[in-house]
Amino acid sequence: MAGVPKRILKEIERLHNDPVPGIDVESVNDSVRYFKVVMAGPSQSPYQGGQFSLELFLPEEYPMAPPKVRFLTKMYHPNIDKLGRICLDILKDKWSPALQIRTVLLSIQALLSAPNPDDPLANDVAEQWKSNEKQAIQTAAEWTAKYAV
Amino acid sequence: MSEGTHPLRPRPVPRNFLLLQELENGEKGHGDGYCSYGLDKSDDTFMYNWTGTIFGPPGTPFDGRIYRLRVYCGDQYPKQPPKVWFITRINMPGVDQQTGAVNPREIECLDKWKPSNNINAVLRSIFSKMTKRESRLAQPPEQTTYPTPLPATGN
Amino acid sequence: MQVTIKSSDGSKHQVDVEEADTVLMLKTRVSELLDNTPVASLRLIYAGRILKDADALSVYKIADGNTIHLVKSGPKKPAAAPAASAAGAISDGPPQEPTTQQPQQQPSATGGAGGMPDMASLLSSMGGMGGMGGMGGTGGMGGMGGMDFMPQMTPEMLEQMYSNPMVQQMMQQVSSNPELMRSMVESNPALQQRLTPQMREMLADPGFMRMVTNPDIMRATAQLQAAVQRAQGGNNGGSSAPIGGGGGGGIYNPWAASAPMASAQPDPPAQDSAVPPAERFATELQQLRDMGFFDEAQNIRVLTRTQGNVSAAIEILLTSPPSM
Repeated sequence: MAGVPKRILKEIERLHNDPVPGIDVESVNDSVRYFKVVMAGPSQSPYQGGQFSLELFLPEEYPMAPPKVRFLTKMYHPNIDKLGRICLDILKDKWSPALQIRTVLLSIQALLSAPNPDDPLANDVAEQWKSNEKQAIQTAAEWTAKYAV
Repeated sequence: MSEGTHPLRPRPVPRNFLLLQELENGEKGHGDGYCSYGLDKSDDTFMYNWTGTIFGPPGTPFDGRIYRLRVYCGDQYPKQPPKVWFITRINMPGVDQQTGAVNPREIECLDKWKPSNNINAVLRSIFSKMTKRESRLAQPPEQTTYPTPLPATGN
Repeated sequence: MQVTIKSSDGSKHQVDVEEADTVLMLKTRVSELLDNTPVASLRLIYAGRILKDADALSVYKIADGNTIHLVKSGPKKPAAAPAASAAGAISDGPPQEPTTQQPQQQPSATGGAGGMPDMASLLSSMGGMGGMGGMGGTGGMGGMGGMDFMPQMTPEMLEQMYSNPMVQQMMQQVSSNPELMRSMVESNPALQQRLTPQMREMLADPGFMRMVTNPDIMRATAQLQAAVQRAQGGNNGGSSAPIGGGGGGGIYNPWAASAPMASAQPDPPAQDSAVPPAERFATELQQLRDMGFFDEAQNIRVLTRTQGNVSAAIEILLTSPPSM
């Protein structure tokens, strides 16, 4: 493959040979930069039982720049907006080339377990999460049942 | 083909990430001050339907008016150009007076479409057409609109 | 959060806002940043959407660091400014001087410099008329954009206008276009309040509507155009040029389709005093009837007094006791 850094090829190889439990990564049209991801909702969270689709793209500058990732499945989560964009520091200013596709996906999965309504992307959801967490969690579970099957 | 043969060959960004970038550019107001655009609905996951505005160029019959447009980016975007309609009525060459549909043959950016073009470039190209002598026509009353077209879905 | 307000002229302002703030609140802030540009003339656009005054910013998902576009519409200057600056510019020299290129356009009325500012601002606020002579060519019609007809017309200005003989001449033309009149009034609530009941009736009279089809309107418009050029000629149109609007004369013009007619100089109606007034002022009498003035004898008396000037006649008819 022309111009693909060895680093990316190695990452793909490892994801294939040593998959992350609950996270399935598949190349789109044999691309080495564009992937469809299916992530299982973490247990003990309102996303439990759901299968969530994401898309991930490694820009030209990767690994100097972070991967671009977003959910395609509708999510009720204070750090995920209506277009599935994710508010996560390592995807922005806390990115380090030492991180990988694998660590990014694991961090996203962790974010599902531990929503952070104080650093929201979806403000109305964050509001609900802070004012009535029980109700918010119930809504998240309802959305999971509705959209993430 | 060995690794590094075409180190500078541009790698196309997938449609969705391209459109996410365009959305961000629209929200940040990059570019000049005469065009603005964003998603028609904020939960349109695949970002098909966009809404744009063009501010009537000064010194033209469109001066002082704000034109609303609808831009549809299909699954094949940006290989295929977007489809564009005026929502606000406008009398200018290349705009169907029944539907507001913009004839791509009449707008340079659409006629000579390149995947490196984007929504902003399309609006700019229409803006440019509005400044042309041929567009100096009598205009319909302000704030009248074309009949709403059915929303396009998929491709 | 902080948002950027970006004008179409490229200038930018940073504004701190809360998500719960309304669009109107933001406009008020922007107005203060822009030398108190009237809030009503500010339009804000975010990501392709025109923001509505009553909505909270959160409705549009405006986030920190985003940019909101600003478009100024309608009159680009506060109400007092056009008159003041026009007065300054025009009173620098006799009004006749600048129009030497077309002697037949010499102002014929006796209004003098004092009357000019009102007319200039009146005409510039009519916006659309300026495009008659060729879109974009005339420049300096003030870029009023045809957005809002005469929103800056104050009742005071209207009164001054009526009392000025030169403007009365103009009003004759204006009054033969009811739509213009109507939108002028409708766009100005203050003016609406000040309207006499007679004026209201006049505006509601279907006779006004009939006159839309009057071929005289086109002639009248052409005369207005000529007057516009007179009014503008003195100062290269600079007095009423907008601050940020790009100015050009090629503004929206409801009559653009008939623009070629504008260049034809209308013939002044033949005024032969040997002809009896009822005949001589037949057209004007019809106009008065159409506006609801049915006292033929009185109409003739008044028209004779005003030498066929319909709007001056209306002025007299409206302000005098019915019996005269």
